[in-house]
Amino acid sequence: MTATKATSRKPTDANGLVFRPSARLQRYLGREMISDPNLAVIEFVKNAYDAGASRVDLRFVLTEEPSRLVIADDGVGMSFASFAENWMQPGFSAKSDEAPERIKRRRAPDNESGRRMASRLPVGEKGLGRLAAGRLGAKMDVYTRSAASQPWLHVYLAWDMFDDMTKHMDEIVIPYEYVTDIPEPTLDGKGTVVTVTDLALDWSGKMVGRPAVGRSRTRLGRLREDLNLLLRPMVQPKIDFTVRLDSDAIADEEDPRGEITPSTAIETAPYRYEFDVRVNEDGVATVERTLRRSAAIARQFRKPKIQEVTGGAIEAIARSEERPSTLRSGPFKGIFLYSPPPARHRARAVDVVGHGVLLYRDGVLVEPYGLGENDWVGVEARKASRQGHALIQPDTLWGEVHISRATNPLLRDMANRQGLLDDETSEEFLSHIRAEFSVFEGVVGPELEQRWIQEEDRVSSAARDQLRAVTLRTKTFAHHLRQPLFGIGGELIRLRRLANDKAIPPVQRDRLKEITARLIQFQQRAEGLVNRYAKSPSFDYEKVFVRKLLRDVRAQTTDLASLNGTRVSLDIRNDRALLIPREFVEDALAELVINAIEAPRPEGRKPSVTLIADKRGAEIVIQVIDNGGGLEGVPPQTSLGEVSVAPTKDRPADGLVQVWDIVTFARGRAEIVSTSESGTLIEVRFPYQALRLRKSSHRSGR
Amino acid sequence: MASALLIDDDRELVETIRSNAAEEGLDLDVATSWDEGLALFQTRAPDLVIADYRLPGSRHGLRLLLAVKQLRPAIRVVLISGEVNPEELAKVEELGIVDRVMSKGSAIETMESLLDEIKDANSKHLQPTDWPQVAQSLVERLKLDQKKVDELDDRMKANVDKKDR
Repeated sequence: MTATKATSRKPTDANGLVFRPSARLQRYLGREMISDPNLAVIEFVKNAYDAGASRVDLRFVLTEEPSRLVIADDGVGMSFASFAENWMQPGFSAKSDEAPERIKRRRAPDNESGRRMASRLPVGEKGLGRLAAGRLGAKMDVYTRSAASQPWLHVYLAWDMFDDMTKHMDEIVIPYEYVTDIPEPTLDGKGTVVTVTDLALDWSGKMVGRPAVGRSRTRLGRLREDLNLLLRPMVQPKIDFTVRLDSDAIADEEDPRGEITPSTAIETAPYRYEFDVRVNEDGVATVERTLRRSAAIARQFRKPKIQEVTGGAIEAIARSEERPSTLRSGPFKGIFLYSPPPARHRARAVDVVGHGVLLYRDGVLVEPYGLGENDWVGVEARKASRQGHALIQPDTLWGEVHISRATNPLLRDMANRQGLLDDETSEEFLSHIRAEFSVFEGVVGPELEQRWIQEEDRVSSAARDQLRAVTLRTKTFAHHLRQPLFGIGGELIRLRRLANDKAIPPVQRDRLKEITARLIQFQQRAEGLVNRYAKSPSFDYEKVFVRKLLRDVRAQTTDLASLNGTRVSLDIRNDRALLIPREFVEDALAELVINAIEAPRPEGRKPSVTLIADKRGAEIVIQVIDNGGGLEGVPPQTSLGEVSVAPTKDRPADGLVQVWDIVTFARGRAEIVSTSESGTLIEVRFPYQALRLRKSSHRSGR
Repeated sequence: MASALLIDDDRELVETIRSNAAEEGLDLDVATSWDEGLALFQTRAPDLVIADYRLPGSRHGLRLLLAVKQLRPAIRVVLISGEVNPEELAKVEELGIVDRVMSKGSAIETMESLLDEIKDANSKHLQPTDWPQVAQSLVERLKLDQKKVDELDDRMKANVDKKDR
């Protein structure tokens, strides 16, 4: 049997032209519409939800050949007619509001799943998600039935059938049959079971690249997180729908398996801001807000655990809060959590959900809001507008906003599901959300600033202690080195004397002289380094202009630069005064310059190092740029404190980590902005505004 | 009778300086501990003593050098050190306990200066005693503030010990 019959329509019609899509369009759509394999899996989960399922099981079978993914739900299942309507017409969706009434009426069978289905508003409506299965594996079997008493409809697709460009989509014949037994376990003996066979990805593997803080590094872990984000919002509405994820092979023993569990972030966040924007009986849009502090925070600042934040009629507060006075987008509610990310190694144990404010429609995630780099709340933009000094940083804000298809009908998705349609209504909605974020930041700002200062003090104090210990060790080591270097100096004088001995033939004498001269150079270079490390830099904070600082740094490295034939140039674009532990910072910058001078370079490249100083917002930015061969395995935007974990090319990372310690002690930041075979750019920034704020707290030897 | 005495506990280093002096045709007595050095000082009556700040068998370095100065006011005393910081070395020079302070921080330069000192001592040793200079040295020695020497010596010793911990 076949699900469709081949026809021989021509691209012309009596009344004009008609499209006759090539079979390959099916493949293109699957690849282009769903860019991420996780989203392809999630499409099946959404389908199960829309089919009124109370549960969907995802089971990866990776140790057998061929590998497969089995997705089983206990939803309403499909008859032949609904399968043909729903699955066989890309772009057509019976779930869509625009579907013909006769089809909509057919949607809900009279059983438990049917009633659940009728009570849910569909989360998928474009009729394209099923095409994504082609991304996951080479073949797909669909088994479906509405009741245990019926036979299963089995449809079999091998996606390579669609690779033939010369065939039209309606010429591809999909076989089907009715069977009484199916090879995979079912849920309640009904619903839909999809088996994707010969999987394209190794799902038991790890993700490429370094995961963000709090994100899993395995594929299954990441899928679990995405499913968690999709269906388990921290606040209501709770939905009668569970997802299980299992696999017979995993990359990491810590990969959680079984039912997807909700996030715990809501219980652990220091600050929780809830807002409810609604329309009252008189049609007036209002907002109510509550700030909840954790017990520790409430105690620390002697503030209430629960605090009502002034809200009121949207129209009345529109001007003061710089937000729209209308609410065409409809009511919404949400929650913002201020929660600094856990330490990298603890991230998974604490929570599986990353940061970001997510948008849910009827309890199901609307992509891509708050995912990845998406900054729809405007946290990153605010940070940029405040020269990096925003109190709430992007990686400290979590949360979710809830809308509903019933109450926010004008907030519609784009066809590719990559966000809301960009129109006046969505713009107004985003403005309201950003206004709520501003209010949240305004309320918690003063407390965060205090915490920030305390935290900075703690970090700075720890860095200083570490520096003290390292400095003493280095100094002692340098002193011990002096003695043998002194002896070498004495022997070099003897060698030089010998090189002038007329008893030695002139040719050998000249060679001896040359060797001696080079040895003396090396000895003096070593001695210079030892002397540099033997002196004890002062912990005192001093006011110093950037130009003077960088000139001194260059002077410290002049000998080495001339030995290496490296040109070190200064470009002072903005000469500002800094309040820093000058001697330490000078040493740290000199270390960076020495690294830059000594960086291995491809043959024939004339070495150069440039120091640029400029003002960026409230920060002084010092850039050390070399044209060396780059630091191997170091990704861009890497903090110098993390360089020790990355292998470097012939360049010790310890020195860079010590630079980081010094810069941290001086309340600055240092990172490798970029590194490649054409050179490395390291940036050191000192927030002089912050220093001015705390100038009084700095005393020598504190 | 040698005209210069070097006291340093680093045997290899002592040998290097001695070889350098010998190759220049200069006399130099060497000792690797304070006791050995003091014995040579008393028996060989050198015109120049070159001593490391810290020596085995000694009490604090400055007090030792002061003792040498007190025994023979006209003797030239050179202190070499790889550990004491430049500010402290400057203070030692100011106090007048020693005639010259040298740092091991710039080896070739210091080594050349040491050889010059030994050369000067060698040539001076061949000349008759300069009694007016001896008398002046006695006067200078009487001006030395023992308390200040002790304080500075204690401080320098403490700094050196701290580095060793």
